[in-house]
Amino acid sequence: MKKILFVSLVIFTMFMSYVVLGGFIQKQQKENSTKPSVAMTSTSSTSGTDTFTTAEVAIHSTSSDCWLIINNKVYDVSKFLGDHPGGAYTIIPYCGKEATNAFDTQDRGRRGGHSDQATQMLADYLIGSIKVS
Amino acid sequence: MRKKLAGIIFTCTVALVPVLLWLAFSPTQLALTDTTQKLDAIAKIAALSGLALLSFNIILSARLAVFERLFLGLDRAYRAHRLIGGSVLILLMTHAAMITAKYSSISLLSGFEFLKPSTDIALMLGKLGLGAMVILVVVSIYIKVKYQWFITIQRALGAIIFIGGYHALFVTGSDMRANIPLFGYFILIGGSAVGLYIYRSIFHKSIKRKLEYIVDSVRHGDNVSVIWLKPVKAALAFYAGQFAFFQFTSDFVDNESHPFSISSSSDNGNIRIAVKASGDYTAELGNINEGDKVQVEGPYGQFSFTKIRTTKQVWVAGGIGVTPFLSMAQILTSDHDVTLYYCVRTISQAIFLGELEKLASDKQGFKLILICDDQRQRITANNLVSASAESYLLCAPPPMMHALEKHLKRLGVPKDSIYYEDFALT
Repeated sequence: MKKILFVSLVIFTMFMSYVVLGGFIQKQQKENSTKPSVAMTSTSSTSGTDTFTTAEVAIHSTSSDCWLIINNKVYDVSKFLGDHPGGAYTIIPYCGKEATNAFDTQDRGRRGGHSDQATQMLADYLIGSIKVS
Repeated sequence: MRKKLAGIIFTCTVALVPVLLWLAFSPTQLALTDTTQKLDAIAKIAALSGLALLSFNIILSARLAVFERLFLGLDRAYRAHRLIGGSVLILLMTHAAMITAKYSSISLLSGFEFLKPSTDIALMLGKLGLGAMVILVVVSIYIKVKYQWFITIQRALGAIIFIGGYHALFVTGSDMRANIPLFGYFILIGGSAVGLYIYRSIFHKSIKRKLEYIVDSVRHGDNVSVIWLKPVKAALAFYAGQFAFFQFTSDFVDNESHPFSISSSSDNGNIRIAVKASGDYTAELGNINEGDKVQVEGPYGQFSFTKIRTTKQVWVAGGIGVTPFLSMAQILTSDHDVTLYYCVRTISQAIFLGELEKLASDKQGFKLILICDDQRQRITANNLVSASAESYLLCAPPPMMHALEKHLKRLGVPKDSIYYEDFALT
């Protein structure tokens, strides 16, 4: 048992260090490369005029295909997950689901939520709205 | 043989039931189309088994009679406890690694964001709980600490059930509260564990009744203290070969509970223990005096010739490991044919030689062979096998015992006919 446990501990520590170091390096690179482009992202494209049922949205519930419902609008955030400043892990549980409250409160159960800039960024991913029956 | 597997089968069932309940009753349909979903499923399975086994391990540490029977003796139950503890850590590390891998499969950055401290209480508790568990297990396994510290660490490990329970119930993505059968299972097993933990650790109570004894007489000498105890009211009901936990009340001895084999027969209610000064606590017992109070909890153990069907037996005692055999030899009758090998370094260490020699001359069918290291005598498995016994009972320091056990097996002695008492209990 001691040996198995030792090997597991080593693998675990190595894996976690890899993610922390690798992630940290990516974060540094990103901060360096995205700073100038922040000013250009204000063009919002509102192409989403389609309507969906909640059942249709529910199909898109994975990290590679992730739709969210926020204030009865539907957003396809699949490409955004890796860029979310709060980490993809805060969004993934809501893929395919109603996420209004989560977006408004950042899941902390109190008021606060996202900045105006974040709300603008969200608009980039709008693909439609919920069908009102 | 089937009996020996009972403990393993029971433990595996405890770990697998929550996984099956999760698979059967999860509110969201399990879809494994995506890598992240597959990793998520593995993470959840590992977490459910890990939490169930952690709960079971806490229940096991309460030394309930039912589990002692299930694992065929407290020493084996303790061994299971250690193995289960290791498995819990591996499962929970797998859980954390799989969740991290899930986010890292999107990008290393999101894996990093996930690992970073956050304000999500349930998530943070999960990370801290696992971190604490890793540190505590590493300390308790790889660093030799004093007994008191060891107990404190074990207690702290048990406390992780509170953190783990909160994490499992409230972390985003948990199916626990939405899956009623799963929730029910954890209320049962986790609730029992938490209840027992609070009762034992916070109220400092044992589930077992403790009996009051006082020290009747004590003989110190040559690193070994022989202590006779007299019951204040009720006497402990035990059979030869068993052990109990003893907690002395004395100014010179720590107020801890330690296990010792009983080396007297169960005839008149008095109990004799013989303790070799091999650690801090056992050295302190050299200061015990007549009239000191003792609380006795037990009895425990299944190591007894009375539990074995075959009558032609070889007993092997290494040093102070002679104690359970002393109590057994006293109740031996002529329907048994027993040879006791009493192994010591020097003849002066064979402090029970006189008593055993007398028993050997009194009792038909009881033979004593003394083996002293300093007279270039060595016990080997070949000696033992030549006695052509049907079963072998070993009680000796672990290295000697395991070496003998290995050699006996190599000489073709079936595993089922070797019995041993692990007196290096922790």
